[in-house]
Amino acid sequence: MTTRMTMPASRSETVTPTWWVIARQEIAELWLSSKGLGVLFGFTMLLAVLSYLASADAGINLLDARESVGVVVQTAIGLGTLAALVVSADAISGERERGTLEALLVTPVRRGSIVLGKLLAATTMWVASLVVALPFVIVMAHGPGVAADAVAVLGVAGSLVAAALTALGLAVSALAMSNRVSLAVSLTLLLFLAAPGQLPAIQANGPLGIVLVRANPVSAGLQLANNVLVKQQAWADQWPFLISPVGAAVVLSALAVALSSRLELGGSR
Amino acid sequence: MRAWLRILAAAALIVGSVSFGADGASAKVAEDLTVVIEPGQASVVLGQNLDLKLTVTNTGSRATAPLVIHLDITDPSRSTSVDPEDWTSTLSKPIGVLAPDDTLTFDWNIQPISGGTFAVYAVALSSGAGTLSTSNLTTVKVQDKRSLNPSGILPVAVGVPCVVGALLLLQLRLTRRPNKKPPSP
Repeated sequence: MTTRMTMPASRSETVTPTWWVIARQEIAELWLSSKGLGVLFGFTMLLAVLSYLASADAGINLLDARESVGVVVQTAIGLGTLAALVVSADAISGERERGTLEALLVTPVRRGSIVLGKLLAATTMWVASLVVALPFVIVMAHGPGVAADAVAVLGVAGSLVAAALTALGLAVSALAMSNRVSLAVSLTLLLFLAAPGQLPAIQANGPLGIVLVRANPVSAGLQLANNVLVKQQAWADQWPFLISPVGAAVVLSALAVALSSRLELGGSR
Repeated sequence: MRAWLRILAAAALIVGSVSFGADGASAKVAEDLTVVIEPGQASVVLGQNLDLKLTVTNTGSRATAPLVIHLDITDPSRSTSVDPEDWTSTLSKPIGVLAPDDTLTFDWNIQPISGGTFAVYAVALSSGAGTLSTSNLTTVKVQDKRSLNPSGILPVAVGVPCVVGALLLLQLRLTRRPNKKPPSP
């Protein structure tokens, strides 16, 4: 990242928060380079193929129309959060590896602001994924009449899960001394978190399975999507599935900012 | 001694005839069952469901053993086999014991997953029986139905990646660094 910190000339001028300056620069770097659009292009390609296949199956009744919407929404959440996780896992360890972290650390910016700015920038990856997923979800959900629910699930559950995983990736990136380690650890944690969703129904409905699914922000978010879109359950009954995504988003964001005090050059060579 | 041998031989014959008789009775029960699938021919469009009506009758004079009806689907014109599990969630249905002259009728819902002409039949069998009763053959013609634009998703599935891809290409072109040519001598 190139550091161009514009400090106010006098106290009378409005002072731009430093985290916002960092966020703007990171967002510009993400979206003006091919990195952001490249990841987004891969996301749209996968979602396009899956949506087409799910619609074709629903068209010949091989898949219930609501179920096909649920599959696409869950995939959009999964892939969108994966994209955001990959970007955030590269945010600090990538700079450390490229040798640009040093220039950032010598600027008169608090380390917490650096991390907060980077967190906001990485979150835009999810926002972009959400925006490009909306047309797919709206068109597919139009038939069974669940467009509003599908958009709400994507916006609420997806955004909470994405916020939690983006913060997780950033926390790992702050600690990892190499980009490769950061990505490997982040992806392994994501796989670990996604595993309860693959439990057989008989185990998922047992007492331990219920706790595992609800305590895990990823599986809780995906279960909420399934409950609302496929099982047609009321939103009022979904609060147990929102506790862990909200908690994880808050705790992991705080952890990522707290870990900023441990930001060091480390493996920069 | 000879008398003992005669007694043993007679006992062996009696035991043998009883056991053979038991096997014969089982086989007879299976032979005395009729299984009919209706309609004999059906035509559906891919995606539609079809209800088959199965009638199992015990025409014998003895009650059957507990019966299981098993449905099978095949495509006689092709070498590849059809997986009936894709057509119905239940391939085998236990129907219990049928008393003499008793008839049981039930529906079996199937949903074809590919186009073509298929042969559907059912068999009635019981555990330990040496034979089974086979139904008539029902021919199911499935008209293929494929849409290029299912649920109107095609414009989105093509358009969105095209827009993002075009933006990516434009960005790559704009940010491409010009090649520095060495000054000509």
